[in-house]
Order: sequence, then C-alpha cells, then structure tokens
Amino acid sequence: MSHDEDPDDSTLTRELRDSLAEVPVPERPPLAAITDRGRVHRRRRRAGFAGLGVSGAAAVIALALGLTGVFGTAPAAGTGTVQTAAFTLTSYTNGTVSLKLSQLFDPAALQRALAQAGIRALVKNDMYCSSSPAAPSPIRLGVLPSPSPGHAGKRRRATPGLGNGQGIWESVNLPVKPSQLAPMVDPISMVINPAAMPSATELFIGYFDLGHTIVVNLIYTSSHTCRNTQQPPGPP
Amino acid sequence: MSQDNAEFAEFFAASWVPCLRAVAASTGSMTLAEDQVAEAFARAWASWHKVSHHPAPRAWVVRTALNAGASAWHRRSRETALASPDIAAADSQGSGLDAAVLTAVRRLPARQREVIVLRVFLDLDIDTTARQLGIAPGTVRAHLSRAMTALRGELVPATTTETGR
Repeated sequence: MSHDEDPDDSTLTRELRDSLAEVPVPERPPLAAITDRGRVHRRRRRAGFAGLGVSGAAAVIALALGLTGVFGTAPAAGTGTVQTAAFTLTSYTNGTVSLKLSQLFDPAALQRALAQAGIRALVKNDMYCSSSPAAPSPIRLGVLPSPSPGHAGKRRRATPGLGNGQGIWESVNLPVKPSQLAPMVDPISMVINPAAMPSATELFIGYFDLGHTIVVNLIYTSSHTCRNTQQPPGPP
Repeated sequence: MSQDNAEFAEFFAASWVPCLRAVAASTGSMTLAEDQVAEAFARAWASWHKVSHHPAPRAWVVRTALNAGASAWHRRSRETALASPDIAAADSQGSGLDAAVLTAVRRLPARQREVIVLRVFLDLDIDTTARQLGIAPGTVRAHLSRAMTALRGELVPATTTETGR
C-alpha cells in the first residue's frame, strides 16, 4: 500500500495495525457452531422463497382482477391492501401508501403492486440505480417520512446539504435486523406519499441480499443508470 | 467434508482473527464484534457459493458484520459463556496506545472509519476498498487522508506526552 501513502501515513498505518495486533481476541468458535447457524439461514431462505412463489403469484392475480384487499385484513372504505410473503401494501384515502417489506423480496410483484397503487417505481434485487445529477431526497420532499431510530435496526439518513451530484447519498438505507430473516417478522415499514414525487421521477427500491440492506431513493425516470452490486453504496 | 465446506473451513480459520479485529476496531467492543462476526461468517457459509467468488471475502464478512449489528447469535453465545473480553478491559491491562488508537478510530465519521477498517486493518488496496464501499478510488483517498490527519492529530500529542514522561 506504500505507493498510496506518504511516509508519515505509512508509519501511522503501521502503528494502527500494531496496536490492534496487541489486542487479545477470543478464541475462534467451533466451525460446527457457524455452520449450524448458517443452516438456519439457508432453511429460512428456502422456506421463504417457497412461500413467495405461491403468495407472489396470488398477488399478481389479485392485481390483474382489481381485487385489492383480498389478501389483507378488511380494508377501510376507499383503501386496498395487497399482502404477499414479501410485502404488504395498503393504499389510504389520503393518497398515501403504506409499504411493509419483509426479508423476502419479489421485485417484479412489488413493482406491479406499487404501480397499481399509483406509485411509479423501479424495484431491483442486487442492483443499485441512481441518476446523475441526483434526484432530490425523498425525505426532504416528504415522499418518505424521516426515519426514526429504534425500528428495523440502524437507519441511516445521509447528511443533507450535499451537492446535487451526490444526492444518491440521501437514500434511506435500512439494514435488516437478523430477526427479520424470518418471513414477515417485524417487517420494515414506510409510508409513501406519491403526491410529493416530482413529475419525471420514480421511486427506486433496491434489496441487497448479501448486505441485507434495503435502499429507497428517487431517480429520474428517463435518466438513470443501474449497476449490479451486492452491497449498496453508503454516504461519502 | 465437501470441497465447498473445506474451502469455507480454511477461509474461516484464516480470517476469523483479522475480521474480528477489524470489526472490533470499528465497534469498540470485542464482545459485540465477536457476535457480529460470528453471525457474518454464518451468513457467509449460507451464501458461500456467492461469497467464495467475491473479490474480497473478508471485506464482505466485515461489512456484513457491521450491518448485522447485535443478533440472536449474541443471545445464544451468552448462554454458552464464550470468553469475550472487551477491548477496553484489554486496554487497561496492556498498552495505553491501544486505547488511544481505538478511541481515535471510533471518533472518526462512519465513512472514514469504514475506509480505515478496510484499507488499514484488512489491508485492501484502494481500488478494492472503493469497490467494497461503492465509491470512487479518489473518494477513498480523500477519506483516508482526512482520517489519517484526524488520527495523527489525536495520536501524536498522546505519544509525545507519553514519551516525555
């Protein structure tokens, strides 16, 4: 790494490494303990995707027939609910839409359901989409509420006031709690206000399997790029 | 043991300590880091077909560990009473520099801390660090420079004071 640093930095780097190397670490757990835990993840994932196939297909049928509310609890007048193993979408009479996402993710079904609810959206798995210059922050516009701490693990809101070119950092980044590995356990919730979305923009929702993270952002419909990535970028 | 399992076992054996130290440097708690890293390795095993092809599997484990936070693993490991001394406790028994360094690292802004963890403690090169964080190599250099300046500012006076005793 020496070609990247000046000599002072190299010295400091060495000191940092040396200091950490002196810290005693606990013994490595048995491999079996790790693989046992890993099997739980695999089982949950398989069970989740198996359920997703049935419920997702059912949701698509419901949307095609306009039978919103079939899969949810009885909706209030003027509202509709679509519930699958991957998400629950509820439309309210004031125009807002409540979205609850589970660890499972079905991009195509969610995108169709959002469109049915009047929300222009691009939903992807392991793909990050952004516009340059960036679209305004959905939080600042009131499309999404400000994240509150204490729910769904750490919620990171980017530092406001960054230049337009760095607007991607204003996405809402929602690391998924391990408890949410179980389908529909304490799902991530958000209320979307489509009326606050500027014309020519759409909502981007990305789920990153390896990073266990969901990103929600605004992008320009006719001007955005997407790239495959296993973990989303964070703030600068 | 299948070839995949053998590969994972080798990766786990070789990577446990560096990943744990890197996460501990970021969280400031060895206890928390132990839980998070164990959970991250479990997820790595569950997705080994993907993680094994990742350009920097250790970085994947570290980032997943930092994302995962406290987990059910934490509760389970407490029951088995694994030895997991806090860094703070270790510091009190060891060199003062450790405490100063770790405190200084924890004071860094989150992104600078991530860069330090990946670049310095995991020894990733600039380009790999940039890919891991989804930012440009130049941005990594800028964060690294700011972080080093901040760390130097915090650590040099402490070292000078100690030297002068």
